Amino acid sequence: MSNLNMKRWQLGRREVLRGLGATIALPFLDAMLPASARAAEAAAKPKRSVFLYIPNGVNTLTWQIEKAGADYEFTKPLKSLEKHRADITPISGLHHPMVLGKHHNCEKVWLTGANVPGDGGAFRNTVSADQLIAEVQGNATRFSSLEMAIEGTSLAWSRDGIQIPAERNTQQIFNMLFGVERDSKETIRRRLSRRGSILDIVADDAKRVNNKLGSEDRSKLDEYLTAVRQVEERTRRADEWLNVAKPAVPASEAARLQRKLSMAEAGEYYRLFYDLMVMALRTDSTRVITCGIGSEGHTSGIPEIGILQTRHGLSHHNGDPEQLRRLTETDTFLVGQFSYFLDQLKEHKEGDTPLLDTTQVLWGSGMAYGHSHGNANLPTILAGGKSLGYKHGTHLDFNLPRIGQYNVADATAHYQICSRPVDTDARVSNLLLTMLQRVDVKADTFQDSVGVISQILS
Amino acid sequence: MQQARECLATLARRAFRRPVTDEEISQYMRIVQSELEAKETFRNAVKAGMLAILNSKSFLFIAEGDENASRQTLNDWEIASRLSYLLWNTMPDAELFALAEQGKLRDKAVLEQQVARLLADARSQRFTDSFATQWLRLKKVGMFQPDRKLYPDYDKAAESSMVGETKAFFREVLSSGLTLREFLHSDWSMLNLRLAQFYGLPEGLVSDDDFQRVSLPADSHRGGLLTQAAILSLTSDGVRHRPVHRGVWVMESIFGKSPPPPPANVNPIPTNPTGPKATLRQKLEAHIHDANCAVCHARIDPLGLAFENYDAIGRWRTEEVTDGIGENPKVSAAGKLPDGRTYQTADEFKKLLVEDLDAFNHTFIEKLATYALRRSMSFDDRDHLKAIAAASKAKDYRVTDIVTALVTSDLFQKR
Repeated sequence: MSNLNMKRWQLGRREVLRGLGATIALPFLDAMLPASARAAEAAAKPKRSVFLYIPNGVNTLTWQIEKAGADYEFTKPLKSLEKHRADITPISGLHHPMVLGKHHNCEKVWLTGANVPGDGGAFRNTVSADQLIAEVQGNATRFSSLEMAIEGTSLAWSRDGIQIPAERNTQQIFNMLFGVERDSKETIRRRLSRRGSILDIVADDAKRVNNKLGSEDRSKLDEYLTAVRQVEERTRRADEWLNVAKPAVPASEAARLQRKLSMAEAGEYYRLFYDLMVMALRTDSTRVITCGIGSEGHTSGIPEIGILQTRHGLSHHNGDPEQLRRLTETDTFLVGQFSYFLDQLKEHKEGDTPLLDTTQVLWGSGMAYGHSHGNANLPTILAGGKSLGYKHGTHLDFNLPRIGQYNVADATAHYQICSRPVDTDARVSNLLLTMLQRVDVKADTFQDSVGVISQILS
Repeated sequence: MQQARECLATLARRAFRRPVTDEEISQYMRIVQSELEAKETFRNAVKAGMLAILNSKSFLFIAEGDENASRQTLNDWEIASRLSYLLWNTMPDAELFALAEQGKLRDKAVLEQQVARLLADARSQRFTDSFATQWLRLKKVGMFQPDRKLYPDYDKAAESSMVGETKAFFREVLSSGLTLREFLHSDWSMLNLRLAQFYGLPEGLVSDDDFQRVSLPADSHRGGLLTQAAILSLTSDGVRHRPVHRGVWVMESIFGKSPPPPPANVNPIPTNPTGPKATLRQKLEAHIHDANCAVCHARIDPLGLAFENYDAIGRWRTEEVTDGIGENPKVSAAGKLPDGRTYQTADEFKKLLVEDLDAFNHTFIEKLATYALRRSMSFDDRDHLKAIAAASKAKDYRVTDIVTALVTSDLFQKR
């Protein structure tokens, strides 16, 4: 019933408002530090985070790394990461307890861990980890966070549990980050000041009635007020950055980053997104990026490796060896692109430090065994961030202490590991909490976390 | 400045769908003033005031109830909005505003006239499209893109034709004064050329790409909502049809009940590509031996298994194309409802549903009331819903009469 209860027209209009404020999600803690102190502190130590989502899980039979610790062997789809061994930690056995068995909703809660009602009732998400990081690490940059998607949707959710739209058009992303404003500074400043006074009035008007409302209505109006506040913050930030020119991108690179590509040439297209992310980090335009590489429902095939089926179709392989082979091929392809991203982050240095060392990167899926919607033992790789206090180089495995060893030859048994958590305390939220703390978010818990993952800390 | 004030007052009254106070307008005048002080042109200054009105909570939200008093029923302005957003998805027009101002909108004879007027207007298509989409979950059509190899005749044009049929069908039932029975079973549908071909109907039945009412041949295996391609495919996963999901859909959309979610720790369905071919139904039946599962599935599955003759995108079939060794197995659409009644085919199943029309009548009214009032129905609303159901029955379940009965009920004036 609840689906009929949605206020479509309201959402639509609120989207309009959010649309204005959506390209940047804004910090709340910002005001607590004077601007100069903030800038000085942040400039001294950039701490960056990138979150990358792949849909539909993997072929878990060929994916599973079988040995824990430092002398593990990369499986076939992961081979391209061999050169990054010292900078990554593949993790086995994590899950989100509240989304187990709830189909493709895993995409929405990958970075939030929120509960999804099993009966299809009204779903309200909670804040995603990247947005908590943006509140702290987003102060010193032009954009507090950057939401993008190749074929997926946004991974970022505000404190009100509202999805922050992701940009999918590479040229728009380029223009937002590096494009030159056509209007004069005065014109822009006037526009921003007008927007500021409008926001003052509408916020006052809404606050006036807020305390007279029932709790359900108040939460609706809170969403509105948050949206207003976000536009306000964005306006303020745009004003602050008005005198700072956007970073200049070398002409050769600018041309490359502005190419018009499509999924028909998937590899080039993926690398264009990764290149834009690297450029955003290199220019310190933002320190927090999320990118939905694909969505659970619509992720195209990859023509250049001869696979035309959608990833969702492949994941429902019904055990067919040919389908499984193709699924492994696309897994290999996606990891290869990720490996390219790590190459780039290593290559570009800030002083003597590779960008990779100041950037924690999480790559993974909310699904493991897609055929039966199994979402335990999620494919998860943490990379980079050495200067943030990580210790990499091992395969961290939460299943082995309890099961002794893997046997992927017994597919049914392995699929069970990928459908039901072996260790119920091995939660994605623990990893997200660890990542929050590495970049100075003051948090003792995140969602249903039971503690940080100390094994990956130096 | 007086001119600016009048301009903003006119806009605010329309935008907020109610009378506005002087104090409210003064807020927006403040912005005009400050813009003028910043040397903006008069035109731009007024524009800024208008922008503030269009960003305010009173425009973006529909408000019901007073700030300083508690009341359980709607006033005339609120009724005008509720009616207009129900049937037009937009703010009340001049006539509704005038009736609200005259205090006539609690008069049921006036409401009845207004329902007829609003439904006769082209804008009522927004109601039929949007209500049909939400009630029947049409947003799910194509959510999992059907596999191109398995379903080469599925594309964006096919997809939009499917959704188009279901929306046009709803509209036709409403505008031609038909009854709820047609939703369950009919000897006609709304087709365009593409869909007629997709359904394999004889050539010449449909002449072009506009949706038109077509009498279905006796052996078409179509008729009613349940065997429309949009409905049959919206539960599919892009590769296979999903009988259990189809059953859940029937349970929710026709019987208004949500089955409990499956327990989280069910074993995955084993795969068997190298064994003898088996239909999905056979695999499911082998899978559900756990007594805990069987309790719910005995109630859900028969509602979906009736459609085994339709594949993942809603094409008619007699055998299932599947993996494994040997001949493709024949499908079976036979089943037994929890109350013991049995059926052999989807057509028989639909006839059983028509026999149960009062159950569907109640579901439909509850869905419509939820949509109109934008809140879920509670225990307190029960008697109102029963009265509307009785009114519907008295008019032989005619859908326009149901809409009128809802709008003229006391429920419609409740907050």
